Amino acid sequence: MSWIKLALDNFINDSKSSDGRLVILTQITLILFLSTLSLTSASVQQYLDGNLNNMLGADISVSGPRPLSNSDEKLLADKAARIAKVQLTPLAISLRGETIPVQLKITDENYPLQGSLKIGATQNQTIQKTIEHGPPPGEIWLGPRASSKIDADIGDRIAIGEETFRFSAIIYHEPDRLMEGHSVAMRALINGKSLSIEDIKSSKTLYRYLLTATAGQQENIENWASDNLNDFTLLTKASGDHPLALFWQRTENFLGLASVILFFLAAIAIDMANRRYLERQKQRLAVYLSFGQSLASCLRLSLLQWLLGFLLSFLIAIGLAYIAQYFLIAQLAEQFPGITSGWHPATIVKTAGLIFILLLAFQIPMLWQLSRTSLVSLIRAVAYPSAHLLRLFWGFASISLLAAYYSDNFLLTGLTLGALGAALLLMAILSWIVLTAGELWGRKYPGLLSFNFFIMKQRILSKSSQILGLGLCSLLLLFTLMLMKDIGTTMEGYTRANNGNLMVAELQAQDKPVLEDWARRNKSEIRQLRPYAAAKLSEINGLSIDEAISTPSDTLATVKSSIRLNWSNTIPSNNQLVGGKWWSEKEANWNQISAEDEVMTDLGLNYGDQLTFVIDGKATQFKLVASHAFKPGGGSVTFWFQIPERAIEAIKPEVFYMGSMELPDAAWSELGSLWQNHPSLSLVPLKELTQRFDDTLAMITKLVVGYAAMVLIMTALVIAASMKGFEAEDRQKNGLLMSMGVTKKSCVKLALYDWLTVSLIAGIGAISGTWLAGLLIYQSQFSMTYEPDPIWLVSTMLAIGVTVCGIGVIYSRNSLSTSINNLLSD
Amino acid sequence: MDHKIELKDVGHYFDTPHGRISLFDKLSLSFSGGSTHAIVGPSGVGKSSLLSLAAGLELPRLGEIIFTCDGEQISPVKLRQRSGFVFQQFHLMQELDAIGNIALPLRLNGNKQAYDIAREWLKKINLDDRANHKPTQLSGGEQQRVAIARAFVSNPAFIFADEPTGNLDEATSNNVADLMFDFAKETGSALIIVTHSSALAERADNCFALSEAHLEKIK
Repeated sequence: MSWIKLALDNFINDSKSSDGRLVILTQITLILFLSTLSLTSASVQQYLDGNLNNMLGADISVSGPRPLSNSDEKLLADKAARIAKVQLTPLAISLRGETIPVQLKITDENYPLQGSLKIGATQNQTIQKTIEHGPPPGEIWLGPRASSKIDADIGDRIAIGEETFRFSAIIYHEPDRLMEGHSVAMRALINGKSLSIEDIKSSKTLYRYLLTATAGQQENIENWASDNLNDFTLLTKASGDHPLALFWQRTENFLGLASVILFFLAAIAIDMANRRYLERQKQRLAVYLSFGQSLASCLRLSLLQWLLGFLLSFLIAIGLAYIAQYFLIAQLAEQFPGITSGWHPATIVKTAGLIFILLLAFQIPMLWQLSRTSLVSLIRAVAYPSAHLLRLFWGFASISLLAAYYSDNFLLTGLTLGALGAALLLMAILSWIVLTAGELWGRKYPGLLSFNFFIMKQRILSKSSQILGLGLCSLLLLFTLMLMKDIGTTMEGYTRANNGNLMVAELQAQDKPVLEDWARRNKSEIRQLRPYAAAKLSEINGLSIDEAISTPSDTLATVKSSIRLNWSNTIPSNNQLVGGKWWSEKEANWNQISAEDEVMTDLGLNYGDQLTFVIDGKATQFKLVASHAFKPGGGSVTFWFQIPERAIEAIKPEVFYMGSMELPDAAWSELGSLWQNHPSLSLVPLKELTQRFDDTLAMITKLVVGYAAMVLIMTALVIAASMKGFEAEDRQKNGLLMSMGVTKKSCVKLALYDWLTVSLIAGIGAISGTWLAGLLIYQSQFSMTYEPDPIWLVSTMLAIGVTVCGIGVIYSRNSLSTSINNLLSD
Repeated sequence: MDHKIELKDVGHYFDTPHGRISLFDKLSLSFSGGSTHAIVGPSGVGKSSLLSLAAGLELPRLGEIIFTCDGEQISPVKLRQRSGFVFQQFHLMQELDAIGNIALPLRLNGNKQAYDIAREWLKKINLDDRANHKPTQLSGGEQQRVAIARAFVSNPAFIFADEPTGNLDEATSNNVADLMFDFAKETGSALIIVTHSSALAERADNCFALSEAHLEKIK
């Protein structure tokens, strides 16, 4: 007990020192970030699992881009206990001259097979009615956003084309809601008997068959579907393959990398703060040894003391993490309706265990150094072995372990760590070259600057760790800021690149003359209209997509549903050839395809790969022969996959168009009537599109700002640690110089030279590392072309450097006033 | 009191990147329990190293050292459990006050009366009114008095003192020396002092002079 009490006393005493507080603060920040991440992740995971178990609305769901043939549907119905049919299609609805696009869900009388729907009569109703069936014939239910946008009251007649339906309820939730994935579309529900659905054609129409089945039946259905329905997606409760899981997994990957970066910063801060703490601890242990204590007991005491620090940091951080989780989950409610925050004790124990092991690993070099403590050091000077290399190796090993645990994207982690390692090496070499050259130069030209190089060279080991720490910190900050800036710019680029003020998202071939006529009458200009067919990638080189690709990406998530396949004999004017060979008009072989460069990277495709697309229910194989990329200037509509025109003559698919229009102000009011008469027309005003992008951008910006704030806090801790860690040495140096008659002004100048040298080397290392990381990571991981902006890089680094130098010099000035006194008392 | 430290033909040197530094060779002497011993000599002859060897902190390069406590031969580690130290630089724990420093060895040994015993020792060194003062609030002499009390508080068999008055003025040195010799007598601990001060050495029962050439027993 007395050992625990003593360890507690020591801990409290050390916490009163700035080094002790710095270590605790760093630990709290780190634990807070990682725990918040784990808790939020666990809440999302629990939500996804819960949804899958309770809210699928069936045991099995089979979804595809076409209706099943009568025989297939009958076969499926025979294999299952019960079956319900759902169709999802984008349509326009109208009320009192106002028309809005909605995602219409058309249900039959069996829907839902399991679970229940929640409906209400007013907006934001907290207590909703639970019901076990969809809307009866002649009625329509609208989602809260759709009903408020079109300003509908219960009882209103909502028009779809020429037919009208009674708006009888606001639909808040249906069991298979999440099957639609991460969608922000406005929604409506209608009975299949109300609408002649055969008339509605859209490349985005989704046909879903919900089934209840015993385990044996499920297996039978799964086998049958994999052999016969390769353009359909089968989802079972048992497989746990939630549509949002992939989206969340990608988010987790990114956050995992963010954790690695923050851990790196924490490691630097703790290592620097530990420099002085180590000295104090060594003296403490030596004194304990002089009382006859064994070294093992002393080390045990030291470990116990560290444990108390960890416990305190952990308790504070966990409390804050629960609060942070509460706010984060509130932010995520839009993406995951109905999500709630939770306690997740198992997750906390797991996270605590991991952080404990890693923070303990950071202590191992220090414990090794402490185990070399000798009582003789109290009698005469003893040279302790330096543990620089051990600390460096151990730090890197710990971070790699964390990276391996947190990230399943080894390439990204490897590239990040590789860039950091290269920058580290560069800074180490630069430190040696600059300080050695400076010292040699100084021999010929004595003065303050040369003295600065001389003294820095003498303390090269400790100076290098300060340079490496600050350099890595600046690198991570610079890279984070650069990535955030570039992602923002890229997204904004996408948003603003559309020409025209109305996007024609989808137009059926038979509606094309109608639109052209309307445009002529309303003095509107059709800027672009490009044809496409709905196609679903089903196989790559004979393997299903899941078998062929294991790395999650946005592209993968998109190609898993139906995509738009365009045809052209020549390279479109807004595309450029990136690689391979584009087909010629005369070629007889039409089984060729070109993929967008980014898609090739994300899916890991190579020239010569055989891609099988299911078009209107028919599988067709194409050989990948070329890759293309978007080229600004020739319109914004571009396609991921393009095939020769001859292929279309052979396949004869259902043709759709997409493009853009420029409407004069007067034409907007006429748009409603066009839409009402042709509800399957999918038109998106650019303003609305911009709004959607802005919403997404706002969410990403929030994430980025939050993350950048964490990096900034950690950077501030590292800078504080690097200054405090070297305070004693600087004070001693200044004291000695002043006792030799050097003026205070010269001492400040000397401090400035010191900080300038440190900042210069750290700055070069940071810029080179950022450039290297950009070069390695941008293209392969974020599908962005890396165009280094040297002016931005240098000016941002200058801002960081000036801040560090400024704080450093102000700090040195403060320490100067007490230097001689301290020296005397030392 | 059957305690003894015997050095037999002990030789010691350091290897540095610039060559070997030899301190002494074939040195034999013994420190018996219950007595006071002084080692004098000029700077650089290896007095502190001899003290480190005698205290079992380092192993000699040549020869052997035998540690005996209560008639039994013991290891250097065991000897340390029966030893106390007084240093030239005092080495008090800066974060602890005077009483906390004295109580520390007892607390490490799990003694529940640590603070009561420490308070008694504070009285003995006439610092009972400074119990809650930190080392920075004490003079050099006061700090060394606290350090002496801390060395004796756990009643060790041997006290090793390295230049205990080296940082103090004459009057304070006398006061500190009085305390050390009085406590040694009172507790029966053997006192082994390394010092430059002939006045201090004079007070010891046995005195050895160490020079570059050899060791001579002068008292």
